[in-house]
Amino acid sequence: MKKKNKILEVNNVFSGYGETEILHGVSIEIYENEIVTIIGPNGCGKSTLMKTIFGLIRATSGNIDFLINDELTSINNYDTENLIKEGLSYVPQSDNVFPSLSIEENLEMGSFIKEEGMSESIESMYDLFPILKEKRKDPANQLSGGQRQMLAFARAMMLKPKLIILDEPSAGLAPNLVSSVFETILTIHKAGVSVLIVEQNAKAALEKSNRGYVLATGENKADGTGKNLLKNKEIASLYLGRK
Amino acid sequence: MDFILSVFNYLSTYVVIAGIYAIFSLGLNIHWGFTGIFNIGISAFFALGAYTAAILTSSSPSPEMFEDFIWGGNLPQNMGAFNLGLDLWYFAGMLGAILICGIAATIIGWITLKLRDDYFAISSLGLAETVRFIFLNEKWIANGSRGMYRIPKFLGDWFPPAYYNYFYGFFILLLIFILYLIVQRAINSPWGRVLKSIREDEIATAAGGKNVFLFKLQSFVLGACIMGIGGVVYAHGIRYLDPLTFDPLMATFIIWAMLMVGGSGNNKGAIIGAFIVWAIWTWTDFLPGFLADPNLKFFMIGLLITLVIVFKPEGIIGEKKVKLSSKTDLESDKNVKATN
Amino acid sequence: MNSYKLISNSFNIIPTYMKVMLSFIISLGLAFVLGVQDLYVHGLLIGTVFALGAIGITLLYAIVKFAHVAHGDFMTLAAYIAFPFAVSVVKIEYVSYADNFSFTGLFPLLGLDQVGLWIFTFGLPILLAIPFAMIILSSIAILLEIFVYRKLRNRGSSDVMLAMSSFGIAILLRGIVQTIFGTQLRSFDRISKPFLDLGLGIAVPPDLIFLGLTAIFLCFITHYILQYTKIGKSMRATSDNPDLAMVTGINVNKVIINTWILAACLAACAGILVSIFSAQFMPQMGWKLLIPIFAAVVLGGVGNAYGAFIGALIVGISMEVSTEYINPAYKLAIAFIIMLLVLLVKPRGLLGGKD
Repeated sequence: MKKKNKILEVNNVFSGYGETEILHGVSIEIYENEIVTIIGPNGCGKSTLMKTIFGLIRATSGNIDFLINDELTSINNYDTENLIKEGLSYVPQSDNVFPSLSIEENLEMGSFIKEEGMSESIESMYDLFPILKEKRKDPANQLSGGQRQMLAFARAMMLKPKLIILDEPSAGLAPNLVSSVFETILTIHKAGVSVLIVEQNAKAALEKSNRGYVLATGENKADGTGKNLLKNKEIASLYLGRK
Repeated sequence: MDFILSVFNYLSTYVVIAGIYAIFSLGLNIHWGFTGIFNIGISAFFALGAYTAAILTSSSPSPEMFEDFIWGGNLPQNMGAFNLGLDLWYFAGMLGAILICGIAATIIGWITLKLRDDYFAISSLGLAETVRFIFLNEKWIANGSRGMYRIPKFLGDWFPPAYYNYFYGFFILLLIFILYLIVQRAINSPWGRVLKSIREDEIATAAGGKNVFLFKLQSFVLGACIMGIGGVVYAHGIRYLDPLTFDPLMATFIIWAMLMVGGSGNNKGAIIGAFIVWAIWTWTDFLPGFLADPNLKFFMIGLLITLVIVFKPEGIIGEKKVKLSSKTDLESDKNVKATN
Repeated sequence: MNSYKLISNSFNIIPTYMKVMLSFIISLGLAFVLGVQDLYVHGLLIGTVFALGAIGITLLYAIVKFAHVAHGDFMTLAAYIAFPFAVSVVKIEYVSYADNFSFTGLFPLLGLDQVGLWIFTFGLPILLAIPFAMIILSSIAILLEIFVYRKLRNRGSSDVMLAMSSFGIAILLRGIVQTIFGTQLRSFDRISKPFLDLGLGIAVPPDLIFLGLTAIFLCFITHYILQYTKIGKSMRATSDNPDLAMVTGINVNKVIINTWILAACLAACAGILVSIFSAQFMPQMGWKLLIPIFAAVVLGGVGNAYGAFIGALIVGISMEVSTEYINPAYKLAIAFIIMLLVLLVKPRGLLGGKD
């Protein structure tokens, strides 16, 4: 089997807001073409980790390396625009579409940095998500919750990123929609992108993931393949709870 | 010797006018400094206070001086009949002005204090212009643009005109001191603490069970009454009023500059700011030629306000900083109304 | 731009258009019944010029999130910038930095036609002033953004502090105008032209028609920018959700600067057009316009450019028609009352704004 390339390496990162440190030395790795989920109780630092990787918060110490031009390069000080250019993409947890813009305009915004290839990208998103094509002129605030998630993912895919970060993609969705969201995630994964998910809904996410990490109080607690984590009774009782 | 005398004369006039502005500044401090109410319609209360006092205390108009004009008071004559001495009509007029300002502030505040900050500001502006407008166009109230003049002097008979300002300046300083004590008392009371918490975070205060609107209204009325007092002192000091007196520059913007320079949220700052800015204002009269241009003062006041906000928003004195609890939310800093 | 797309996009907004058009037609009918159709049309046309100012303010509200109180003085500045263009002799009197002096206006220097172009009272030169004023105002706006507003925003200042700083700047700008030009009334050179009788009891100064058409044209350009250009779409996206815009790769600071440029250009046109129409102008001009403009913004829904346009028309019409029944001196009070009523009864305005 061909060895997969590592595309993201987070090494012993400390980060937080102002005087409050949330992450106390967290490390993860992401390889190409895989789905990785990070789970853990509320306040464990999952969202903080995502924001640190994406440059919304600066790590106070530790390294974050991303694959740029076939080499793992430090991105600690990259700003958001550059990260997007190099193939990193982020979907926030809520308010992740532009409500007054049409579906097509939302997609256009996804390609804001690079206009070449925009129409082809839009067409391939429509191929992936036919319902978006149907409603392409409708304003995004008329979409249902599940459709909005689709649009949010599609927007993040417009520049064909290497890695897309999803912050709690199933948050606020009705239970029957949760599985369809994860189906959608599989769909975009098949299009050839690695997905890093942060989730409360650990069971549903881990079922579809290649690997997972467990975080608590800002530190690594466990990791393994998705299946192994699901089977692990201790983790299940500590962190999976009823979900 | 003459030179020293003229310097003192100049200083006494300076104290009178700076003192009047200090009173306005104290009033504005209650609105903005302590409660976070962005009021750019100060001139409304200035005008109401001044005109009320003038109307109540003026003697009956003679046909040549005035147009059809309601005649309100002639308090000096009428109260003099009681032989009270000490020109108590001055304080009766002041009481009337306080009453009118209080009523006006209650009505205006009742309607507009529900609005969000910047909408309130624009409304206050509109209101101030409307008040000025009414005085200008409804000549029967206060003689329109011809103005009211020969407003009586407080204790005028006791002092020769040349030295009157020494007395009046001293009287004003006394008044400022009394008002300062009153306001300090109010601010350090439980009532005042609620006001401050409203300024910091209205929502949290409301969540704590306080009727924010009522507190704001009370603060608005108190500030307005103090501004009204300032108007009274002005009316009897300058002894001439017309709608032009209350133009935005001299009756609103400069007061804002004074409060910002001195330090909003701080009563001493309000007073000192008034004296400093007025010093700058009149001192520029001594600059050569073009630099003494009154229009340049407009520019200067604008520059002053902007510079203070950008570089030293807490003003010269600033407020005793209360350390806010550190929050972990990235956005928390933006939620704090950065008044200082 | 594919014309099919144009039409199909417009189709999406038609229902509101219909409602709006219908309301205006009905109210116009009412005006005829009351005999105020002349004032109505005057007000409508003046309203279009208010709209230029209102659209700028509402966009600034939507994207930089504060009340740009200095907008009025932007307009005043534009009128005064146009001043040397539009008079044959610029007289500087009653100023302190010099004795009375005068110098020749720009249009005789450039050998341009005198005033009185066709049916209008003004001439070509003042139109030349418009792009010039746009450039100057945009530059000032950009400087202010970089050195004042951005600093305050990064510090976490509240919208009230931003409004206050813009208040300081308004006074500063007015001070500059007054120092250079003095406080007396000014007017552009003009030749009196007769009113145009449009029939049905409506007679308008031809200038007003020019103003109205120009203003509508500019509004249309703004609409085009907002709906069909990348810059405009990024503005709408940023006004929806600035955090998401940043995460999407939109350079929010650039969007903010673009918004300032657009607002400044519209304000420049508004200022010059208003001064053409008002025959006389003075340094307080812009400040006085603030109240009808804010009333329009609030009426239409803060942050909604289309609302601002409609709101401006309504405010304009109300102000003019009111003169039939009340002392014309209270026109501004009418605008103010409208604003107050909207804020108390339906704060989100007619078309629903951001706040």
